[in-house]
Order: sequence, then structure tokens, then C-alpha cells
Amino acid sequence: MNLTDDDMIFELRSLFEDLGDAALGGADDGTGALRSIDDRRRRPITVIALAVAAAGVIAIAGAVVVRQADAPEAATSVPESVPAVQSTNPVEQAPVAFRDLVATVLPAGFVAMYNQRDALEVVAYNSDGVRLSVYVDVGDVEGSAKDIPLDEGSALSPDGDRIMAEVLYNYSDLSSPDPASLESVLSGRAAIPGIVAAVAEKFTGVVRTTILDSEYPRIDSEQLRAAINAALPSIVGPNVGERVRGAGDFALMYSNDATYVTINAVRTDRSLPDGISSPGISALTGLRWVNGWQIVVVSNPMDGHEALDEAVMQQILTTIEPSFTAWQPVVTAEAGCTTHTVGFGDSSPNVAERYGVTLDQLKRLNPDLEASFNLGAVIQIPCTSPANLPTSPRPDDRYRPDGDSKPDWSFDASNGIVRSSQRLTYTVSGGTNDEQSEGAVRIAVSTFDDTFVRDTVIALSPCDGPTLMVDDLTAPLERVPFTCANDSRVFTIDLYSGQSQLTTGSTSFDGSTTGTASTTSTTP
Amino acid sequence: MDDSDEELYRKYSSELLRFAAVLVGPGDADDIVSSAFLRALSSPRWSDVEDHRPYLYRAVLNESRQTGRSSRRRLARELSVARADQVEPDDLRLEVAGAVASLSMPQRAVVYLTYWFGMTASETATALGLSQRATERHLHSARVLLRRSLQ
Repeated sequence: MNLTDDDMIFELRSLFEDLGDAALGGADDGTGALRSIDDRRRRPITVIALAVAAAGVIAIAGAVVVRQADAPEAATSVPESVPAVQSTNPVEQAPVAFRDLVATVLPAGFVAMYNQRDALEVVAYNSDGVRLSVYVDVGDVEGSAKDIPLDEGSALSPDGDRIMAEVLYNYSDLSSPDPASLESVLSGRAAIPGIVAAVAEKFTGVVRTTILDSEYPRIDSEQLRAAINAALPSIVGPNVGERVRGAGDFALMYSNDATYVTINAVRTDRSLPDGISSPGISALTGLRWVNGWQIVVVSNPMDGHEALDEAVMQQILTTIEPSFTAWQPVVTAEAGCTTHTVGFGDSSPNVAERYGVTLDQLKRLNPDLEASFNLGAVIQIPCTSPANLPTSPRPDDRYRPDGDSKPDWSFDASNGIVRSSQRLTYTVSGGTNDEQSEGAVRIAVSTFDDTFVRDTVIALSPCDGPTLMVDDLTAPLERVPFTCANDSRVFTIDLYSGQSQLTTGSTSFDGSTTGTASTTSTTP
Repeated sequence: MDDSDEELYRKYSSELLRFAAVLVGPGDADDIVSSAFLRALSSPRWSDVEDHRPYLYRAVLNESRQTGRSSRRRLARELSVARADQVEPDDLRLEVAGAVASLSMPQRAVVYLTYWFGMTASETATALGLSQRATERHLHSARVLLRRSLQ
């Protein structure tokens, strides 16, 4: 497909028009002017397919699998162990590079956490729960916001990338902002111009290359798909998918509608397909971490079909894993982010030490280092190279802040932050409810970069209580009591993707009233 | 619902239905708008709301976020039925619908208000109760995702 921007906008409008017409039953609602756009190009389509698509059946959502202890239809998760050998894959390490860069310019008290979902964003929190987000809009990527005028919250890097920052309350705090946090918010906002300017100055050279190669590498999906096609028919039948969809961040590698089996390649910084994580859909999910990708085998039986046996899913994973293991992205070396002019008494080891890099890194960036290391020679200094980054973190290391000031980021509903790869267990018997809607208690797992949508909500329906709507995010929450039938309900949530933010629609888990929450790690 | 509320419903229900249809599909749009309206009217702050239109858009967006999740199982079944009925293929429109479906709810909302109404980022931000920066980012992210899918 090769649509121009105008074509794309036209098609979007046509889609919106179809959807709206279907909702209105074809009635003219006074927006006829927009319908005059070249109707000849419009093609009929069955409304139900649009309805399904528009409703997000194939949308990507929160990478969590939810298991309700006493719900037979609930999803079952089969988290696999992390490979014993820690990867040096730059895809996994690049978000750390940007985190490290931003961390050097943050105001005191803010602890930076890298975003494995988005290497171009770093999120920092302080002890007041104030969120400071720094992100990059790459200038040479089509669709960038480079045409938006610069303001005090953004700055341009030497390569034309826009560095932006904003300070917000954590979403869970928006509903009841603590006045004490206001000072943090204001001071954080005051620091933004300095932050974006400092980051913009440094966002160049190897740092930029490393991060962008993390953001934009492309899995060789056709090669992988060919391997899958060769390996799997004997196990689960032929691949009937016409082509790989979404290759890059998310790739549907295999599908067999007859058995409702799909195999998906998902970047570890992306989420699983929505349907997989929806508690209402029975799905078996196998998952392995391979070179920064998750392989997800989904058996999503509907309409009387039976799910695949777990042993078969394991067999599928074992069969296709080597193809994924063989894949490696390529990081292109570029000029260092700064240079050093060799002076009297300099040696290559002490220059490396001075800049906090290894000699190997220095040699990698300056292949003729030894021969050209003469007085007055200019050598490139890497800011942070992949090899200099910490070894690939285990999943439960992700989002663990750096440094001596490391706070305890274990689950704390009061600030809504959790580490990844945790199993959270809730025992709910009753409490107070400030849920926005739908049920007395709501547990939501969201991601940092899309807090409002990509989440999984567990409505504890046996717990009866009135629902409230929070329609003014600055207003204090109202709380009303609720009770749960059958004494208590136990819910377990496994977090996979490493950068999740847990919010509870109800603050009954804030420790001040009722409900309990405990956490244990699910992976070593 | 008093007379003024009924008038508001008549005035805005059509455009809110269109908005909801983009967010959750036409099948649920009516329920979404009705629920959002009733929830808004029952809010103690409703009488203090000066500009009802953005308030109602936000209410629809909030309602859609909830219902969009709970109805997915049924919609998945509808999809399988649609396949069985051999829906007339339209690759382009399905691609566009799929691309839109891959957007988050706020992204869909922002794209809709931008491309359907031609709202500016500032106007969209006001309508959805977002910051202008967040709106710009949602639109930017949506454009990137749409282009990846469609270009």
C-alpha cells in the first residue's frame, strides 16, 4: 500500500463517515459538506467489519495477562524463563542510553526510568509522584512534529530532532492532587527549558544512533516467516495468512483461522495484541524473550473450538525459537558526540578513562587510534556506546531506577508505580470505591506512554457498590463503601513487558482502608 | 432530563454518535452516547458546566474506554461471523479500518476531531480535556502509526 497523505486523510474521512452513518442509521446529521469529497472513490464495506476493527479487536493493548483465580474462562499465562545468557542486543539496551543521557540533566529529586516501550522517552518521578517526561521527535522521520513551532518546552538538537519535555502529575494523582506536589510540579516545569536544551545538545552522534537504531530496526520478517512456514505445518497446519502484518514492532507471523492459532513477534517494548490480554477471551499465551522480541503463540478458540494443549504451544516455541535467535539488528557507528584533541602526556587508556569509556569503545570509534594518537590529533569520544551500557537487564530490572538514590519502586498503589515482571496479588473483601465507572473496584494496568488506553481493567463484579464518575480531574474524589460477595476475591496479575504502571481506579488499595496487595517476582 | 437537557441531546447527539462510532464502532455508539449523556446529567457538576459540548465529548471518550474493553469478546465473535459470511473484500478500507483500530482511544479521538472537524490542536485539546502538548503527541504518534500501516 502506498497512500499519499491526502489519500490517507481522504480514506480516514471516508471511514469516519461510514462509521458515523452506520451509527446514525444513514441519517443526515448536517455534516453533508464533508460527504462531497469525491464519493466515486468510496467503496462499500460491510459495516460489521468496520465496527470490529474500529472497536479495537486487532488493536494493541497492555501487555499483561490476567488470571482470575476462580474464573474458568479467564486467560492463562505461561511466562517462560529469561535466557540465562544476558543479551548485548542494542535494541534492549538503547532505552538505557537515553535514560542515562536524560538523567544527567534532571532536577534534583527526579529519578529517571527508561521506557522499554519507547526508546525515545524517559519518564522520571520524584517522591511527590510528579511525573517528568522527556521525549524525542526525530526530525528526519516523516510525520514528525517538526512543523510545530518551538516553545519553551522544546529544543532542537544539532541533527534537527526536537527534544520535548513536560511535567505532569501521575495520572492516578490527577484526581486528587496533593497540594504539596504543586511545588514539585512548578519547579519541574521551570526546569524544562534547561532540560530540553541540555538534552538537545547531547542528542547527537553515537547516542542518537544507538537510540534511533533501537526505535527503527526492522525485523527480517519475511525470513522468519519463511522459517515458520517450513517448520510448523506438521504441528498446527499451514500458514494461511496472506502476508506478515505490522512487521517491525509487531508482526503477525502465522495464522491459521481453522484452528484459531496465531504466532506473533512482538518487540519487548510493544504490547501484545489486545485480544490476548483481554480477560474475557480465552487465550493461551506462550512467551519467550529472544533478542529483544517476544514470541507469542496464541490459541484463541471461539465458537466451540478447543484451545491448543500447552505442550503443543511449547513445541511451537521450541521449533521457531532458533529463527528468532538468529536475528540481530545492526547498529551503525557514527561520529562520537564529542572530540578530544590529544595533548601532552595523553595516552589512549587515560583518555578513555577520562571520558568514562573503555579503550575498546575508543578503538571502535577510532579504528586507527594507535597509529594516529599523536599530539594534536583529534579523536572521537563516544558518549555512550552499546558496549558501554549495562548488560541487558533482566525483565525485572527494567524500570528500576539507577543510582544510590534508588527508591523502593515495589508496588505502591499510592504512587501507582510498579516494576515489571511482577506478580501482583490482590485480596479484596471490601473497601471504599472511587471508581470512575463499571463496578465497585477496578484494577488497571497501564503503560507509561499511553496511560489512558493500553490497560487491562479487571472489574471485580462480585463486589457490589455504587459507581461514580470522575468528571473533573481536579476535584477531590468521592469514596463510597462496597462489599464483596463470598468473603473475598483473589486476583493475580502478571506483568510482562517491563514498563507498566499500575493504577487502581479505586483507592481501596492505598493501605488506608481495606483490601490488600502483595507482590512477588515472577521471573528470576 | 429537563427541556434544556433534551435540547442539548437533540443538538449534540448526532455528532456524538459519529464520534463514538469511530471510538467503539457503530454497534455500540448509541449505547455509549446514551450512557455518557445520562452519566453527565447525573453529575452534580453538570449544572455548573458552561460549555457542554467539550464536556460531552470527554464523557463519550471516557465511556468508550470502558465499554470498548467489555465488548471485545462479542465483537470478536462478530468478526468470525463476518468472515464466515464472506464479507465483500475491500483491502484498502479494511487496511484503513485496521490502522485506525491499532490506534489508542485518545489517538483515535484526536485523529477524528482533527480530520473530520478540522480542529486545531488547541481546539482538540479543549474538546477532549487534554493538554495541547499531549494532543500534539497523540496526533503525531497516530500519524506515524497510520503511515507505517498505510504508506
